[in-house]
Order: sequence, then C-alpha cells, then structure tokens
Amino acid sequence: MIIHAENPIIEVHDLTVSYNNKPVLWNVDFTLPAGQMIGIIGPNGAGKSTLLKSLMNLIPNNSGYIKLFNDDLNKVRHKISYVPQRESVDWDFPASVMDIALMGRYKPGNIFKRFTSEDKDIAADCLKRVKMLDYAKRQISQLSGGQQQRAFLARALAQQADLYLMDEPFAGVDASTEKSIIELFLSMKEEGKTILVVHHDLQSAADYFNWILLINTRLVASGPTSKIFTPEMLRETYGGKLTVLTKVGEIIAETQFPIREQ
Amino acid sequence: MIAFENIIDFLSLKEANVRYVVLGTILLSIASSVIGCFALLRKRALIVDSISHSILPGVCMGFMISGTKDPLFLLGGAMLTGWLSIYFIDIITRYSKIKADTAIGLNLSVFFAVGILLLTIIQNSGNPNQSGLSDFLFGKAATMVESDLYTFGGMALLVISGVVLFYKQFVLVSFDMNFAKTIGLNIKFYEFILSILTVMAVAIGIQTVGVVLMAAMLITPAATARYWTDNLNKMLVIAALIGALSGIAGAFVSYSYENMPTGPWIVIVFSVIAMLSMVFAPKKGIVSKWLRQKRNSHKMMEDNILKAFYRLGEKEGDFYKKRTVEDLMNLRKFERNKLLTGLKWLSAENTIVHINNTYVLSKKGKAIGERIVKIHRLWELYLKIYLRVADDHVHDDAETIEHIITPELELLLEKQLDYPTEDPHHQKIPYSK
Repeated sequence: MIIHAENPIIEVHDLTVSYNNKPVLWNVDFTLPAGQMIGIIGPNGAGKSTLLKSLMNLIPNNSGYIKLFNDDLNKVRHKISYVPQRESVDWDFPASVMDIALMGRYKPGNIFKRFTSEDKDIAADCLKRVKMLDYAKRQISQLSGGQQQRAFLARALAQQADLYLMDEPFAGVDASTEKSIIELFLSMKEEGKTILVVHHDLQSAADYFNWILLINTRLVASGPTSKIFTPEMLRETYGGKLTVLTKVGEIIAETQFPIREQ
Repeated sequence: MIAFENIIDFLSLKEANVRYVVLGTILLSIASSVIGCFALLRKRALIVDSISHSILPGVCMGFMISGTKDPLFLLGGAMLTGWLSIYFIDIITRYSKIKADTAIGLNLSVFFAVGILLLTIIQNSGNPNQSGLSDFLFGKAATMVESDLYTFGGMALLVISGVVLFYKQFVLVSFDMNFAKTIGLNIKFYEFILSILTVMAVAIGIQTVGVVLMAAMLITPAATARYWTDNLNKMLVIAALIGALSGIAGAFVSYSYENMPTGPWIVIVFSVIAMLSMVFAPKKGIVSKWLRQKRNSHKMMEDNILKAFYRLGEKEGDFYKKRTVEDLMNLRKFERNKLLTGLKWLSAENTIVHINNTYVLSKKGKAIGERIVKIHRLWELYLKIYLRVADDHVHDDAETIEHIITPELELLLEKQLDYPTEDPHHQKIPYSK
C-alpha cells in the first residue's frame, strides 16, 4: 500500500541501488510529506541506511531519480542535514564536542574563513538544546554512546536545515537519552522541520512517527502511520525476503549482469 | 673534545653551508610531520610507507632522463611514481578482491624492486654524475647546498601552506567523509590535494632522510604528538616540533661524520622521543598509569585501615581506644609490612595518632572510617534492592566500590535508598550528624 503525499518534500522515482552489483533496493518509488516525523522501518539488511545514503547521493544508483524540495540535490543541499550512523566515524579523533558542533557551520562557501562569533553562538545554542553544553570542551573519545549521538545531533542542528535525515539515531543509546532525543525531534517538528529517521524498533515506531515507510529490499508500504502500520503490512515486511527476487539478485551479482540495459 | 667543538660550530650556524642544511632540514621535517598527522588520522600510515618506497624508481628515471642530479628532475620523477603508487593501490582495492593491506605490500615491493634495478643500471653505466645517487636510499643532509634549499625548502613551504589553507577541509574529510560529502564539499578534489601534498612531503625527504625511512618522518612525530594532546591544533604543532628537533639532530650527525647517513639518525632520535612519550606522557603514558594505580592502592590501604579502626570501635563501643597492630590484624587479614606503612601514612595525615606501640583514631580519622563503612553498607543494600544480588554475594563488590563513591553519588545513594538504617546483614548504617 503506497500512499502518495501532496506537495512532497522528497520524491523517489523507480530507485534501484546495488552493492557489488547485488541490488539492495529494488524499484523503490514513493513521496514523503513535509513537516512530519517519518520513520523508515524494516528488518536488518532491508536497505534502510542505503535509502538515506541514496537520498544524499553518497552511493550511486542504478536507476531512477530523486527530487528533494522539488529540485536537484545540489541546489538544495543547504536545506538538508544528514546524520550518519554513530559508528561510521572514529571517535578517537582529536576533537572536542564543540569542534563537532562547529562542523555544522561549515559551508562550501565559507570554508576558507574562520568561524565567526555568530557561528560559535549557534553551535553553543545547539549543544544546549541537546544538553551537551557542559561537555563542550570534552574530548569526543570520552563520550558515552548517547553523548556521541547528541554531539552529532548538535552538529545537525547547527546546520539550520529544513530536512533532517537521521541514520539510526537511537542505536546504542539508553532509554532516557532516547526519550530526550524524541522530545528534541518533536520540538523540531513544531518548528516545521521534516525529520526522516531510520529506526528498527517496532514497539516504539507507531508512537514516534506519523508517517511510515516499510521496506525490505522492495518498498512494502508508505503512508500515514494509522493506515500503514497494520499487522498485515508488518508481516509482509518482516516475513522474509521474496524468494524469486532474492534469487534473481543473486544471479545478477554472480554474472555481473548490468542492472539496467544501457 | 672534537664532538663538543663540533656542536658549538654547528649551533652557531657560522658556516653558510650549515645554515642551508639546518634550515632545509627543519622546513622538511615540519612539512612531513604536519601532513603526516593527517595521514595518521586517516589511517593511511602504510600507504605513506608505500609512497616512500615507490619514489625510488622515479628518482632514478629523473636522473636517467636529465643525466644530472638536477633536483627538479629527481623530484618530478619521485612525485610521479609516488603518486602512481597511491593510484595503483586505489585501483587494485576498488576493482579486485585484493584488500588494501595486500595491495600496499604488493605496490611497495614492486616499485622498490624496480627502483633498485634502475639504480644498479645507473651505477654500472659509467656516468660520472651518478656518484652519490645511492645516498638517496638513506639520506645525506650534509650534501644540501644553497640551490637545494630553495628547491626542497620551497616545496616544504608549499606543503605547509597547503595544510594551513585547507585545514578545515582536511579536518572534515579526515573525521567524517560522508558528512563532508553531504554539505557539498568536493571530496575527490580535497583527497587529491591531500595525496599530492603527502607525496610532495615524502619526495622532498629524499636528500636528507632518504626514501627508505621517509615514511617514519611522517608517521612517528604524528603518533608521538597524539600521546601529548587531544587537540588537533596542538597535535600539529607538537608533531612539527618533534620533527624539527630530530631533523636538527640528524643534520648535526651528518655534518660531523662524513660517511654517516642522516635518515637512520633522524629516525632513531624521534623514536627515542616516541618511546619517552609512551612512558612519560600525561594520562596516556605508562608512568602516569602506574602512578594512578599506586595512588589507588594507597587510598585503598588507608581506607581499609580506618575502616578497621571504626569497626573495632563499633564492636567495643569505644572508637578512641588504643589499638595494636595485632588488634587490626585480627579483624582483617592485612599484610603486616603494608599495614605498618599504611599506619605511617595515616599518622602523617593526622587521621590516627601513634603512641608508643599503639595507635588511636583521631576525630578526622573516625569520620573517614565511618564514611567508608556507611558507603560499604549502603552499596550492599543498593546491590540487594536494585540488582537483586543475594545477601551473601554483596560484600566483595562493596569492598571495592566503597573507595570510589564520590560525595555526590553518596548523597544520591542515601536519597534513592531513603536513608536506610540497616544493611542486608542487619548491621547499622552510621550517619554523622
């Protein structure tokens, strides 16, 4: 069941993405509304993080196209903030929490300039919002998982974007941090921001999100939570991969067959 | 003392030649240490080693083409093959099943083999200009002349300015590549600049340090600096200082002893600095860790003795009675020597008073002992209630935790447990008024 949004902030048309020629997202096609809390839900290896990376053009796609704010990514980058998985960086890097938040103030246009006092104020404000201002000077390797996540969120807030793409922001954080992060997201939503979150906990998904995307290599459903989040849809999403689709994917990988005829 | 006079001569920089050598070596060391920090943070240390071995065939080809040791030709060749080795490693890991470490190993040995081959051909060619070319293997700083300083020093300055100019971009690319991409930074361009600067930094070391050891010139100062700081700016400065210091030492050795290669000396000097850092650096150093352990066991001993005094007092209803070493040892299995040392420490701190062969708790000592006992019992109760640990299993854990609970945590524990009066063994939890 795929319900389309009016005036979508994200449009994905016929997207196919593969790793080592093995498709991990297959003909995915959906639209997402602005100003909502949107969850991408699916089992491990379903292509959730891949979908976020494709939206930011971090990995090449085999087919299809994406429109953000009804435009090309390169024209609207400044309106989008991407928060990668916490484990994707080396936290032993010699930097303080403040340094990380300040990275949110980098823009290709101002990158040769020093940070202004305004940049520093914004970064400090963002740290305050995620309750990390007390740790501003702390070396990032001394942070707990939840604190690392909040440092990343402060960096994202400092970007002052309209659309936030969050890859597993709740992975490895304790319950109270999860709660404070959700409160932050809700306040961001109040300000009119759109938040797209990769999430894998079914228990909390219905409470957190008002629009849900169910994927397992293929798109199973997309729409308002009340309509999409049904036992039937979940069974389809978590009931395992489609046998034929998986086999075809394996053949493509094995023969290195092109995913689209040129 | 010849060596002493040499040092004076050398340090006074009276001779123009010495000035060129010293200045050239310092610039080169700073350039390589600074760019090396980024190689280290990007986990490219091995690639640097591959580059340094791969510039040898380039140097030889530069010589073969020009027929002279014109540094421009040699550096041009060095940079070409150095960069090619990065390119090959990239291509091999991207398009084959070979992993990065294997690709680096393959590259390094193939390029170096070709380099040695070419070097032998040149040496057998009878070209009179070739003498000294083999110095490029291990470096000879003293051969640097004025024109070399302009070439090598100029390139070193170029590397340093590159790092200063692109500092923010390099930080972003090194820390979080995906994030850098999403804000629209041209990653490929900056990675290319980083590689070129790295190759340049390696190439300019051929005369002073030599190709074989140049990788160490980039990596060791950076790794050492990381011991001393968690701040990237400071790390760059410390690495540059270590590099410069070792460079000067190497240049001095090369100046004083005609047939001594410079590279190994530079490497030895900063390896010594690296080892000293491992031992003495604050927080991360071995000595610092050892001192911390020492402090911990010191504190545990003191706490345990005061606790023993308190418990004896509790049992007999008199906290300020004179106690002998035997009294204490009957209560708790202390090692006699350690107990005596501990008692000395405590007397010095006025928590107990030593009278003849007996010891008496002071008011201050009683308060400390009481606090330890209180925390011990609170913790036992906490384990029982919150962790559901059985009554007979709570003691051992509390024996350790009693030493590390801070006053803030102590308050929190009291509050959370609602000021209990008894521990799981029905012993009274003391509260000071």
